Amino acid sequence: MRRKLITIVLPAEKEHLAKIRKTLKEVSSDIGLDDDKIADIEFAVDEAITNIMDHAYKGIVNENNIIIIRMEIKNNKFIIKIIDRGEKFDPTKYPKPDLERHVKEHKTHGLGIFAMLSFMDNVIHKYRRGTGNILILEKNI
Amino acid sequence: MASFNFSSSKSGDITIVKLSGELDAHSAPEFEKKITPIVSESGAKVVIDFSSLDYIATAGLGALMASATTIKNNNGKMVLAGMSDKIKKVFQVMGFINVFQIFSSVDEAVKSF
Repeated sequence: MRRKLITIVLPAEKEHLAKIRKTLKEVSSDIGLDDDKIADIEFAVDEAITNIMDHAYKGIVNENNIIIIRMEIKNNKFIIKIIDRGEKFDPTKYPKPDLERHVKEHKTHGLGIFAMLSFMDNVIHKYRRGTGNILILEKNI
Repeated sequence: MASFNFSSSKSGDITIVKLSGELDAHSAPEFEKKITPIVSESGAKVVIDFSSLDYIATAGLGALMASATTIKNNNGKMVLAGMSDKIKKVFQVMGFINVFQIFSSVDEAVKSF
C-alpha cells in the first residue's frame, strides 16, 4: 500500500535547509517514527539536499534552480524522493571515503555523501532527461 | 526558522564558546567567521559548549575540523563539551569521535586544561 504524505518545492538556497528539516521532522513524527530514526532521516536528507545545491546546481541560486521533495510511505518504508533539474550527479557512485585518512589529513569537506548513505537504509539515484536527478532515500519503518 | 547562535565568554584564560540552534551548511560560514579569530590566537584554550546545539551537519563538522587544525598550528587546545546523544551519534558514525576530546560538561572540560 502506498500513502503519499507531502510534496515540497523550494529554491535551492541554503537558508531553506532549516525549514526542510523542520517539516521532515514533523512528518516523521506524525507517522510514528522514533526519535533515532527521525534524527537519521533529518541528517541524511539535509546532507542530500546540501549536495544538490553544491554539486547539481553548483551553488547557483536562481528562479530555475528548485528542489522538489516528495515524501510517502510504501511497503513499510518511509520514502523521500528529491528531484532537481541540475547537472547529472549520482552520489551513490562516489567511493566510500577512508574516514581514518580523511580525519588524519584534516579534510574539511567530502563527507556529505557518506553521511547520507550511512543514515538511510537504501539510496537510489536515477537521471531522467527532461526531469533531472531523482534521488530516492528509504528508511524502513 | 531554526537559527544559529554563537556566543563566547571567559573562564580565566579559557574561552568558552557556546553554540545554540543548528549548525548546518547555511550557518557554518558564520561559525567559521566567529571562531577563527579565537583559535588563531597563539596558545588559545577553547571549550566548545554543545549543550544547546540541536543539530550539526557535515559542514559543521568540517568547520570544527578546520578550527582544530588552526588551534593546533597555533599551539593551542580545543575541547568539546555537553553533546547530546543525537550529536554524539553523528560524530561516531562520521569518524570524528576520536578526533576531539569530548567532555560531558563544560566544568569538566575547563578542568582538563
